[in-house]
Amino acid sequence: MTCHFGDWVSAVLDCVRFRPDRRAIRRELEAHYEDHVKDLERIGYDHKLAQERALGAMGDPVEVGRTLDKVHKPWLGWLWLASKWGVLICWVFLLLSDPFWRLDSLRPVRRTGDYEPDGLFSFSAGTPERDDSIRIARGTGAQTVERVGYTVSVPYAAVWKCAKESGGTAYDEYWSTVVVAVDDHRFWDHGPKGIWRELEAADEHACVYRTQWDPAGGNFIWVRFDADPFRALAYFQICQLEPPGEWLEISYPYGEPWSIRIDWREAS
Amino acid sequence: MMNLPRWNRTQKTIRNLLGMALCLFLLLWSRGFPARTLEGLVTRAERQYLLDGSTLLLQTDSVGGGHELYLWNQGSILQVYYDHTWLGYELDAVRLFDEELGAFAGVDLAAGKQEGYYPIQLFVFGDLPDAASAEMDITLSYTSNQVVSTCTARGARAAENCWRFDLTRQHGDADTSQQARWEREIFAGSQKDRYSGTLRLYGENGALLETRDIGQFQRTTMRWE
Amino acid sequence: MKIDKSLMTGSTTLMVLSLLSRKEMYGYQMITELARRSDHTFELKEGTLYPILHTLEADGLVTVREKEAETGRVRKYYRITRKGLKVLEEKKVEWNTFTEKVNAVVCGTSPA
Repeated sequence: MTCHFGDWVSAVLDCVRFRPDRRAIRRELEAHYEDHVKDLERIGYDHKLAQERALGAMGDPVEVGRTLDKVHKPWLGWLWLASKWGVLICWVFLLLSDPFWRLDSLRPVRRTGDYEPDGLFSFSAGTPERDDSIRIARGTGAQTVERVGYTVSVPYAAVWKCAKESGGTAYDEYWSTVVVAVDDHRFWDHGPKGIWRELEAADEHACVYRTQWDPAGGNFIWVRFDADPFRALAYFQICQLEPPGEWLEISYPYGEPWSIRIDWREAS
Repeated sequence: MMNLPRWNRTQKTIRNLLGMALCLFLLLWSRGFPARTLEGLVTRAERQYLLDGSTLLLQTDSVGGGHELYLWNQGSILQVYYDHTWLGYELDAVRLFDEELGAFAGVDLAAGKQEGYYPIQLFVFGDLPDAASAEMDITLSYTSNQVVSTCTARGARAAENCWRFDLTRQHGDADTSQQARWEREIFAGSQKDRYSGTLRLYGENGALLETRDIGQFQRTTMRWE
Repeated sequence: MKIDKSLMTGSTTLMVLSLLSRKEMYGYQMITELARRSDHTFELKEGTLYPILHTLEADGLVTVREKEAETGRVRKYYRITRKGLKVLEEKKVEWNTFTEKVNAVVCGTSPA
């Protein structure tokens, strides 16, 4: 490479404002020049004359440089470089923050269908409550409630009866399962987690079933929780339910208090 | 050496920027989409209990790191634990207190430092008679049994059935006693403070309506034994 | 025959795309092919080819890949894209219409 061609390339590159591209442009122009020199040598030119001819064929370096500068826009070049490093840094941050524990929240919560045979959520297989209970009534919430952008409903509730015996006396025990659903389009929201500890139930005989977290204790027991970004389901069980009448009402006492009534109908 | 055909610079830049946007979205998702402002955090905390329109009473530090907010909403206190990171305000836990009589205290971060120390505020709330004014004899202790100072503070109404008492340092900067050192440590933000006291509520005519004893409690514990 | 530079402007892109529509080439190869096909009528200043090629790449009309040559140097091979083929067809139609109209005026022939 003669210093003349080196000067020519430098004059071209001086016009290219985006410095990171200069190296690649230099390599391409040098490759071109070398190919031309070798071609001329192959047809009989001596080395020095071939170099002079090839250099002369390259054209005005300032004109070439200026038109190259128009293509290699500095703003796009810097944006590209920043994005190249930015995307790498972002993914490293993400992997270090361990996002994978949230993957289970992508599974959609079931919206329809029967909640049976898993209706007695808190009892283990093999216990008389689970094995010998029969469902005698079921129902759904008579209305939905809208509060602060959430829609609360009771998509399923049931009453179970289990025949038991104690000291020679036969008697029936009743349990109720209640599913409370909250729908919300705000996928970024955490959901109404607090209300699960504050719900209570009452029936028309004025029997009140308080939350298990009540300081005096209660038998409205939270059993399980299921959620995706748009829906949350809380499963409750009421133990030692009084013999069911016509309805059960689920209520929440804070903010703008609400209640949802479940009218029982005989289970088929 | 053969390489695959390349995208042009504009295509690569767009791809990278979309990759960054996706990554940022996943990062925000992994952290529960932190709120951008404190008001946003308060709204999310309220929504956990289907509430809105709360009043901020106190913004303070948590024992063990992080921060806490205390909000008043229709006679109940919302205790909100959160972290403030570069992504925003990450909600940790929210609890609702609906006490017959409750109290909490903490350094007031929102007020900022005054002469190098944060002010401390003590709040009493609950099923209280409608009073025109309140007063409280407050005993400040270092851990559970080292009395640091006692004072009588006048109350300011923070919300309906909620009174605020501002604590000031009783020992001067020149005081080199152990109590003074403990007091300076407490007002600088150490979490070894304990509070107890007697609350007095007065009617319009200055008549004493009620006296309530408040047993010793830690900085941000709502109940006491 | 030396052609007026102003006549070359605008048709260089058409010729480069045309060359690349047959096969992928590197810069010097395009220069020699252009000279050969035009019987050395079109011998543009070689350095000016690269701004054209880089512009075509930025516009998505060609893509680039690198390959090591016998000399050990890495050569950049340019290949036309689908978008480039589409633009080439449009430019061909444009060129044919242009030359037809110019001929109609210069040679006095009636338009088709």
